[in-house]
Amino acid sequence: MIIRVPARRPAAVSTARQMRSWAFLLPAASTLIAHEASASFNFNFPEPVTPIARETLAIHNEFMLIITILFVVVFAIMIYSMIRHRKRPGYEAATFSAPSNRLQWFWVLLPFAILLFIDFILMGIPAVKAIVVMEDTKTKADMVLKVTGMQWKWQYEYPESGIKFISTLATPRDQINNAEAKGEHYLLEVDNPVVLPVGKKVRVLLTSTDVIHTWWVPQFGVKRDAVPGFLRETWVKIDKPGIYRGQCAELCGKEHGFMPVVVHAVPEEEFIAWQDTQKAKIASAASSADRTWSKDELMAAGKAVYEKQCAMCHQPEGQGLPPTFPALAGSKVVNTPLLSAEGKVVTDTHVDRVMNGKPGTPMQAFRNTLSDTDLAAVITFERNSFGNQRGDMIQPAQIKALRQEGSKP
Amino acid sequence: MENAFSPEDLARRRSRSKRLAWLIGGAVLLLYIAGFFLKR
Amino acid sequence: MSTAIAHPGNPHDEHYPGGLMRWLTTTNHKDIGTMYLTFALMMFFVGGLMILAVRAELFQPGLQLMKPEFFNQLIGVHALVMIFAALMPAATGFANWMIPLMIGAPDMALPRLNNWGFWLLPPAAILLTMPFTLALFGIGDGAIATGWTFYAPLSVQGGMGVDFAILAVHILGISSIMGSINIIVTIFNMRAPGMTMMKLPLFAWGWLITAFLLIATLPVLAGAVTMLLTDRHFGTHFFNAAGGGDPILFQHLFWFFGHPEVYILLLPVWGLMPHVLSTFSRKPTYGYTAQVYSFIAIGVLSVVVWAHHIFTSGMPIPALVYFMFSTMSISIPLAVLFFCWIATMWRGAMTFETPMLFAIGFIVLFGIAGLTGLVLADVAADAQYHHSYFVVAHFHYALFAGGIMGVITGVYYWLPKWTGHMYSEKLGKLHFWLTVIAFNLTFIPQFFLGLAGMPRRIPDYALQFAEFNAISTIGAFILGFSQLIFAYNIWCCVRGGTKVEARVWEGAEGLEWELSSPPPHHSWEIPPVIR
Repeated sequence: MIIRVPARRPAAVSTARQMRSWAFLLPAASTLIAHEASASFNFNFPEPVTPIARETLAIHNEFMLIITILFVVVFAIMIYSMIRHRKRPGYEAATFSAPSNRLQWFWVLLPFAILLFIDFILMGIPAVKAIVVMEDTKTKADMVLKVTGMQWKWQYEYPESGIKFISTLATPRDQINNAEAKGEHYLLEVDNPVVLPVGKKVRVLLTSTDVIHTWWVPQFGVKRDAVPGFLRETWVKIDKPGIYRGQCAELCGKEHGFMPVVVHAVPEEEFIAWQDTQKAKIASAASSADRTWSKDELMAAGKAVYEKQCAMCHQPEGQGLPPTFPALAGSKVVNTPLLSAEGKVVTDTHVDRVMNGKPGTPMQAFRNTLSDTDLAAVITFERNSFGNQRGDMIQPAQIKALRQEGSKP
Repeated sequence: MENAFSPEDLARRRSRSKRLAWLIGGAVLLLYIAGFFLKR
Repeated sequence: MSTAIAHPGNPHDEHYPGGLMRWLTTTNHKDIGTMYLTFALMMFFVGGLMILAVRAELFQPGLQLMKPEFFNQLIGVHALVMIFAALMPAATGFANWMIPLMIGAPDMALPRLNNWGFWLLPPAAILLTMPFTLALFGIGDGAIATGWTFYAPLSVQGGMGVDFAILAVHILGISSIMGSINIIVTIFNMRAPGMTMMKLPLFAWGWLITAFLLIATLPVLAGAVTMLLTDRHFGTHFFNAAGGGDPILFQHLFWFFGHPEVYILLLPVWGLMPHVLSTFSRKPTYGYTAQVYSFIAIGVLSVVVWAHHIFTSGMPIPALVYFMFSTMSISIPLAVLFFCWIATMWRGAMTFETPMLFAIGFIVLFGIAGLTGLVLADVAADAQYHHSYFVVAHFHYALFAGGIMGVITGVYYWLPKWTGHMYSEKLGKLHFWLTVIAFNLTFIPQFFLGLAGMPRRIPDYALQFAEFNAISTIGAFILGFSQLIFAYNIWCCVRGGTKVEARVWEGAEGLEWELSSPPPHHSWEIPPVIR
């Protein structure tokens, strides 16, 4: 990646604006304020970088102010009463239990008139305006980004240019397991970040291949579910270049906490340059699928793919996590013949399972996400590793052919 | 006003309660079954 | 422990078998109420232990104690246990104990149904938690790991823990429906002569609305999880897009139950509050009629606002606007309740015994839940709050401060009536202050975590969230362990203590305070006369 972007301000340096609305929890917040300069105590949304995020932050700040006032006023009255209206000698409790004259009715009904005004005018009108802006994904959209959630990674696709890649967590497992020191962007870093141009309205289409995921970048102010079998949409228009980080927000299985979203926002020229390099990469990958690969090459490439795509569930040594994630070592499925005598895929064989997945389980159809070369490599690798000794291999070109004829058994 | 829950009075109250209970139970079952025909 | 609650009085009134058989076969509303409450207290600690394990894992970034899949099981089962096995049974226990006393009835209308309703609970709780134990022996992959919401398709692909949970929810649902039917028919048919509906104690009114909500919504939940079961095992495609279904349908069905469920947990507490406030303010309840109509309004509104739980799943603009405004409109009847609570205190002659302290703590903290709920109703801002720790903090203010602290209020308020002994006021106050301080220490940081962008249900988090999580965990442990004071206080009070009179509290009004403490085995054999 050749992108240079100004580093985002570290989280510890909070601006006054970011802190403005901590106030709604006055009593307890005050104990924390003492620390705010020293550590990463963020009391409000991170700095907004899209029109929606700015709108959302403004609304949030307004609402926090309103509810703080309500809270203080209501409980000031109660606390006054708790101090003044205590049992003591010579003091008689009142006996009223309802408003008894017009003036009292006025004072009783007044708070509710105020509340109605707050609900439907003060809070309601800006909210409706914001909703209309938020849902307007189509007007003047400059480009489309298709986001596909899958257990447990994101696939990004640029339909106009045909670029498509998978983005997975880049944090080493050793950091997660406390075997080494955690990096600055622990759990919020990926191998292939999605790249978007600044100042362009990007229509984001979302879907999923397995369970529901939610695509969320706090600084964009958008959060939308990726629902399998359906298309949802939202939009972003990023104002300034930077690296923006978020996470999957809907519980999606065991690695839910480990599928971050990282967006590089770059100026348009840089974006075009990036697109060109990506296209060139795709072209070279396609041509490499046509040549014949040696087994050693396939094994080496397969190991890399395995570690990135498969090891999370089937574990680095292929031992799996039974019963949910079966072992590949000595697996019945892995140790099936490669293809039928006619060179076709047979149901419930190794090639079938890798390409088409197993419905109703986290095992997905990797034909949709991996290249011919990656598929050939990882299948070859699995058949000849973890004690499996099939001795055979499959060529990228064979996968390509199987894919073209549909490859469904 | 009686000064005790007479056996007759109690029996009457209990049987009224049972009728109502079965009625509500039936409504619950209907609601449950109706749920399967929901389409979105 | 429960057996220690004996009912002194005329021995001729009491013909029940001794020992365990008494509890298995009892049809006495007070015995059943005691069992409900004991069960709820036990499950409160079970659910609490689960979440303490979760908080311990979240103390520092990195995975220290457990694997993510086990973490996911703990959070979901914690919620199911707390909601279905702790809060709901506690409220039903209150209803069983108090409604017959309050309305002048000799017992619940259908005593055998009552017994059955209770004894369905322990098997359901065992079913819910058994997969944990089975996994220890290598059977299955543990309990349900989808969170308490069972969202398809995650729950379709889940292990056998999901089946156990589906079965448990069915049984718990049947138990709740039977309890609700019993409460409704008791209130309708067993009132003492002269007690009209508009003289009914507010606690009974709150429960009446709760019972109707349970009856209207639990069948929908049962239907939804049954559909899930057939999707899992019998090849249907209710929630599978590939077969013409829709995963979002499940969310609609679930929240059609799930939102009223919040009010199911809270209405009994709202019913209880006026009694406590009026007692310790020595002043009649303010706005009885207004409160009754607010209960009804909240009950009706609660079933038409469900989709505010799924704003991010994608809905047409008119639907978003409708669900936003209908949700906001709940703030009106809720504000009526707050107004009446404070107006009841106004110009009273207050004293601050433990139940009053918890009631005031409830009002303030539940106020935060209500106000943040108002903000969450806003679709635009909700995009940022949703699925984040802000929501976690919000609903714990509603369900811990609103639900559990409400139940604790009721326990301290009625415990002397049930046992005939006074609890330790000193321990009660200590319990209150520890609870309130630790609760805020736990959940205020979670508001900020959510605003900063920490999603919920993650076993590990980015470094910027570390400080607040550490504070929250410390708070959670203090909160958890201070509940042991509560259990100890109850235990001592059941065992003995200063004898109390029929009217335990100076300002207490109502039929329940006319009977001896503890009340006789058969509550009202002679119906009281209501003026």
